Amino acid sequence: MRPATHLLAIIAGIAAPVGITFWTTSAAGPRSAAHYAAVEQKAMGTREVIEAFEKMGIDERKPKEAVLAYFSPDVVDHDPGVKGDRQSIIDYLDKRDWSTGVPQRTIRHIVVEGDIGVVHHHIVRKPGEKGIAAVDIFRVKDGKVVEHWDVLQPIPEDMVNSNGMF
Amino acid sequence: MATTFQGAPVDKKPAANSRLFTGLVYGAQFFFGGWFLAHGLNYWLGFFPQPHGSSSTSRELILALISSGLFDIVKAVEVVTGVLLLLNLFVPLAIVLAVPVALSIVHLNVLENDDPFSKGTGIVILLLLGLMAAGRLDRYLPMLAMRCGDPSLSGLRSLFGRHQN
Repeated sequence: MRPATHLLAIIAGIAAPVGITFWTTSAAGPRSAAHYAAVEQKAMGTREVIEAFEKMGIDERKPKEAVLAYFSPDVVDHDPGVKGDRQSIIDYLDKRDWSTGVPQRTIRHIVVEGDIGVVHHHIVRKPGEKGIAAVDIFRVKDGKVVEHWDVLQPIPEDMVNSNGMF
Repeated sequence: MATTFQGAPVDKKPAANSRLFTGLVYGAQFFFGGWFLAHGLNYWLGFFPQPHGSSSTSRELILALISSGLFDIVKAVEVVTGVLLLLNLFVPLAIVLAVPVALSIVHLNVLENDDPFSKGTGIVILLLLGLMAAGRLDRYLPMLAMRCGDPSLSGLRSLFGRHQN
């Protein structure tokens, strides 16, 4: 191989794969940041998914975004207050006023076993009320919640039990 | 139709095929070399994003390689083989050095990742590797001897320039 041809071959040999890599990792390419974010989410464990959902949905007050990010499009919800599909969860959460500092939520326990995660928490939906002792149960697969149950118990004004509900 | 000095006709077609094959092999070699060099150096220099694989398994494997320090060796092999292929030096050796790393990449892309781009990438890498090896097959044929006799010092003598008479 002549030296000039060799030099051109080296330049082309480096430029071609580098150019392809820059395209594939661009926003329009098949290896975009969004692609890798989806891969990373798929690798998330049950606890990570639940904690990420709770953080975005409640702490950051982005319930719609949190459901879209962490609930599977085919999620099955058993909450009697919603129709049961993902859109009905979004519609239910959208109806609430998230701008006045409520709902307030304090997580008491998170228990995870395999693909099932249980969150025991205290929710106050209106200022001044005692709130609800809530248990949310999530089934997680491939980084998304695929099934959800909840058990809600309003905290009574007068309790016989002096230990409180938490 | 050309003729030999003895007057026998010689078909030019094989020579053209040979040139085409040589060109294809060189194309594969320089592309592969550039790809290995760029991605090897990217590990330390970070020219472009460097995520940990396109599937959960790839991610876990790459993270384990990084935490064990083996990924440094993988990337060093990529740099060394990339440089050798681009400089057209020790090419048969460079291809052999590249095989374990390249086949691992092919395995992850074809069998572990789900997306079509990964499958295509894996197949292209396999084709490049096969084409490069086919182009240097004459160097590997001695290894394909089923029975190769007793071991001897002749290889070492050849390496260090002491030829037996």
